[in-house]
Amino acid sequence: MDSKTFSNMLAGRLGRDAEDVQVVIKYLANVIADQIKVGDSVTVPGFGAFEPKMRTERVASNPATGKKLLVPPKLSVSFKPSALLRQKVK
Amino acid sequence: MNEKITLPTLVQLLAIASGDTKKQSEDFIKEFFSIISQALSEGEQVKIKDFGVFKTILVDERESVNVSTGEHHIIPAHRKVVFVPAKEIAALVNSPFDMFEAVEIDADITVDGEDTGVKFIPVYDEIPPKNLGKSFDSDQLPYSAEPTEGQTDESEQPRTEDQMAEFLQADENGSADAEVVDHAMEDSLYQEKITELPEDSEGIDNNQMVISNVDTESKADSESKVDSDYEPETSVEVEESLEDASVQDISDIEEELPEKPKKRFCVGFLCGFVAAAILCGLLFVGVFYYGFIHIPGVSLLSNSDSSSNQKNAAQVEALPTDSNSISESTVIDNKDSIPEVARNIEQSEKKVTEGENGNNQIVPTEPSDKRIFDTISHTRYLTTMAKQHYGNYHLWPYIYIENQDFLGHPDRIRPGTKVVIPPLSKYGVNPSNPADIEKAKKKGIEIYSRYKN
Repeated sequence: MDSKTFSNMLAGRLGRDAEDVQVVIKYLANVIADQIKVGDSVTVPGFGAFEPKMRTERVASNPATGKKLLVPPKLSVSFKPSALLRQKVK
Repeated sequence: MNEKITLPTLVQLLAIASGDTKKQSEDFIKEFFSIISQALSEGEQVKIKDFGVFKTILVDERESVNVSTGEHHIIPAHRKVVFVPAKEIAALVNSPFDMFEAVEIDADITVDGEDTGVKFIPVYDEIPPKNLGKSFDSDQLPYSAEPTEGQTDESEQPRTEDQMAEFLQADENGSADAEVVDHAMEDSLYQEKITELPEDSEGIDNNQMVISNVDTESKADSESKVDSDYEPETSVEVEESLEDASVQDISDIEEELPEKPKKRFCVGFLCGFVAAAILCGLLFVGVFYYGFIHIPGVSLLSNSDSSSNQKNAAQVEALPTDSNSISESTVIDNKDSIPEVARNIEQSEKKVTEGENGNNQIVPTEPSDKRIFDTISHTRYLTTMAKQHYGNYHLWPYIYIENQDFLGHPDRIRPGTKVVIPPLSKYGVNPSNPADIEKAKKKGIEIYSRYKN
């Protein structure tokens, strides 16, 4: 399912304009990202939780040049599906 | 921090962000996630612009152990939900760490707990030489008359072979070093040394060849002989007979021998040779300074004492450098290098430039025209030179063009670079003509545009 069909479907269910829905999707994403950024996790019942995941700095080597790189720490989003979703998908 | 944001809070936050009512936001969120979970349960992946991608991936069945009971059980193959955030979202989440960038670090730095394997690599590096030695021996065998005998020998006595090789190498190194030191002691004149050293290295090479030659021959002879050949005594014999060996044989073997085993010996000889080269260089410098500072220097000093017109004489000497021989120019150099001779700054400066003239005239490529030279420094650029010599700094491109064979970016010329200042008449430029100045400016832009990439 690509983005357009998704937003159309969502717009159909909510009775709103598809473009409008796309804007709200962006707001939702920003709200969740803002929470994760400060270290909180966002839980959606029946679906799962978006959690911050800290990736520590590490030493990697550039495969092209063979030089070592110190890769800085990174904060990323990890999604943990709820038991219900896991059951559904199985 | 570390709080769990639940649905009501999320709804509230979304309502504030989007300006919708809470009811609308709650419906939105519920529908949003229900569509995703529905699509996922149908095995579809859901791409959402500005949000990310939800997809399912297949996990193969695997065996697992119950930690508390220790029972083995198989986790059946199943699908797992994966979320990949959109680029913008990932960047937004990572914004606290935005300022960090991947930094290149030195290869020899090892971080605790990481790259422990790397530390062992040198150990592996040390092992191959022994293997090389073995392969060297086995490579040699085909050249002997009876390879099967040699092979049995090798299997019987691989250890002694290695030891032998090591002994020979050490012995060779020692003798080579001793030779080098002897020469360093004996030869006070560097020229003789220079001529003799290359011969030494050749001789060393030849020694190698002969040793291997004798080895192969003796192997071909008989098993017992081969055994005895690995004793140190015979190696001395081999060395003694080195000089008797004919050059013809050596060149033959040289063609036959594989390249690899040479490396082993070469490392030792290389060290010896490098040491000899350094000694030679030091000796050269010593002789140079001794010869030129003391002998002509003294005479120069006496000259300056005797004649008060020495400065003028030096200038006269330097001026016709076109036809001067090398020795004269070096004498001029030495005058510059002797600070004791009292001179005013002006004259010494003149001398420096003259000395440079003399130096450059030694180079055969330089024509014997009268040329003005200048040296780039941290405070002296092409523009300052143009200002000084032509009266207008805009004319620097002509200096650049004259020297462009060895100049790179006009702003990145190394300090110490010597440049020729061409006479402006060469390019038909009149510094008082504004049109010519404009031309020069255009040329400057053109020069810069070459390095725009």
